[in-house]
Amino acid sequence: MLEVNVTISYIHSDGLTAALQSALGTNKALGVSSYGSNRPISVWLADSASPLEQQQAAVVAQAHDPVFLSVDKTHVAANGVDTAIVTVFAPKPAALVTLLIGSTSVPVTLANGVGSISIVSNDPASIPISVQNPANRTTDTLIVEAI
Amino acid sequence: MSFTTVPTFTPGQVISANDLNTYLRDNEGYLLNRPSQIILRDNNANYTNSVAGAFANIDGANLAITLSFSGSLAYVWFQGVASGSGAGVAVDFDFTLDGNRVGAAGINGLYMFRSVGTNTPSGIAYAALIPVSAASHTFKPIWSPQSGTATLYCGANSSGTDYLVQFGVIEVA
Repeated sequence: MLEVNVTISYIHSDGLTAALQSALGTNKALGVSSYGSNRPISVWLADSASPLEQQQAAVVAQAHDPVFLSVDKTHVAANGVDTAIVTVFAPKPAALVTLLIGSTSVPVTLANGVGSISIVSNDPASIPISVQNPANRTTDTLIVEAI
Repeated sequence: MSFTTVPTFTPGQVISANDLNTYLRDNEGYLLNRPSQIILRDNNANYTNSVAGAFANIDGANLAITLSFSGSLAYVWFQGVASGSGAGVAVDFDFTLDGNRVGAAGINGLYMFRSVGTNTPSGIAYAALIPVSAASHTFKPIWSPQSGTATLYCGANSSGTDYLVQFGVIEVA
C-alpha cells in the first residue's frame, strides 16, 4: 500500500473514504486511518496509484468538510410535543450545513461548528435525517421514529 | 545483555571466574530478565481505520516494539476496546514481524472483532506465540475493517469510551 499523509484535524472516515473511492475508484483508494486531531491522517492507496493519483487523493482529503450527526433519542411520541434533538457538528471553519428532514431542506445555524434542530411529529412516521449534498462530508443518516 | 550458549565441560577442566560470570551469573540474569516491552498507550485520541481488504498499522509510530532476541519464541499480545461504524461490522487484526504479517496464510489474519451495534464499544484481546531468530525484531499490531470504519478507543477523554490500549512482547523461550 502507498501512504499519503494529509494534515486535517477532523475526518468523517466513511465520508472521506467514499469521496476518495468516488474520485479514484475502489481499486486505487483503499481507505484512511486517523490517529487524533494533532497528527496527519494516512490515506492508503494501492501500489499502482500514480503520483498524479496520489496528488489527487491529497486534494480530495484537503477538501474534506466533515459533518457529524447525532440524536438524543431515536423514538418520539407522535403527539406534536415530544421532541428529538439532532446535533450537528461541522468543525471546518465557515462550514455550512443544510439537513434533509425527509425530503425537506432545513438550514442549520452553527456556532463554533455546532448546531441543533428539533424534530416533532403529529403523526406516526419514520423520519430520515441526512445532510444535503453529503459528498466528501458524511455518510450519516439518522432515523427518528414517531410512534 | 545477551544469552551465551553454555559449552560442554570436560572432566578436569578448570572453571574460571569468567566462566562462572558468563555462564551462571550473566545467563541467569538474562533468563530472569528476558527481552520484553509493554506499551500502555494513551493517545489522547481514538484511532480509526477504513482500509478494507488490506491491513494498516494501528499506529506505526507509537505501537511498535523492537527487541533483540537470544531465544526463539516471542509472546505478543494486544488488548483494547473497539467498535465499528455499523452493527455487525467485522474488524480483522494481526501482527507484523519485521513488516511481514504473522497470519498472512489467512486472508483475515489472527483475530476478528464484530461490532454489536453502531459505534458500540466492546473489548478485544488477542495474542500469538511467534517463532523468532536470535536477532533484533520489530512487532506492530495491524487492523482492517471488512467494511465501514473501525474505531479503537485510546484515551480521548470522553467519558464512557476513555479506554487505553496495551501492546506487549516478551521472549518466552
